[in-house]
Amino acid sequence: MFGLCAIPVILVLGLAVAYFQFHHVPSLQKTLHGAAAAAVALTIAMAVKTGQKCLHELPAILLFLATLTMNGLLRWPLLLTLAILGPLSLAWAWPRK
Amino acid sequence: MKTLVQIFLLFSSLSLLSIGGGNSVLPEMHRQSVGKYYWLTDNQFADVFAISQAAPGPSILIVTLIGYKAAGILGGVLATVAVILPAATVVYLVTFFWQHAERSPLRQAIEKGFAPLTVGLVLASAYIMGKSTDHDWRAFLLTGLCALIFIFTRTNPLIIVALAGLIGFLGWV
Repeated sequence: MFGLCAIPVILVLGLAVAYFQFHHVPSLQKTLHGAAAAAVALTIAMAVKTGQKCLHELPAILLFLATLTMNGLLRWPLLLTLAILGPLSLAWAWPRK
Repeated sequence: MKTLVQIFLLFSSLSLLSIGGGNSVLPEMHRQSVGKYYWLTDNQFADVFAISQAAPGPSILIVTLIGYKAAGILGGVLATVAVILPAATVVYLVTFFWQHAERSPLRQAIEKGFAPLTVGLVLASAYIMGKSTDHDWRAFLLTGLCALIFIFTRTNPLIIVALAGLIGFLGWV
């Protein structure tokens, strides 16, 4: 695992050094601004693709909306969000004979 | 030293809460590193998010960038170790249970029940990052177009992120 992680970490550390050295350069700011817009899109696409697989029942949709609201819109701490919704989601998904 | 302890506690706890992967803890990471500890500005967080998505390796390496900003090279390395080790240990331990508990109700409930939460957390990440990065209609449009490409085609994401970076460089967003 160390070998698997070491090279990307060294690379990202190099990028970190370069970014915080030059982040005030306008052309770099503009480039990252464009790349960030696409990175947000990548995250949206991930949510859409995963959602297509699991959001077929009303309780699942309600749990999804509650998570989005608590963590994203209200900015509640993640631990609080999971402490409330985790048990509810397990209770909903627990197999019934 | 205090910052190093904060880095370790924050990222190791996020590691244990990262159901569904690193993208699910971005709002909490943003809330604490920008809003609580002031290690980065909102714009810098958006920038390191873009760098982590475009760089080779797992996107959770955003913590390396945040750790570096907070406490230099040592901070970057510590943040990386803190986010990888707890999750890897849990996965290692849980794998034994998972393999022997194919019909366990708990396993079935976790797999089915946590999936909607994961989708909510990932979309919350997109919302928080979108608020930081997309400040005008052109950026919103670029995000929308890229999302459609990612959803409906199999184009390599790195190509799209690079093209979006070029569009930004040219001043079109």
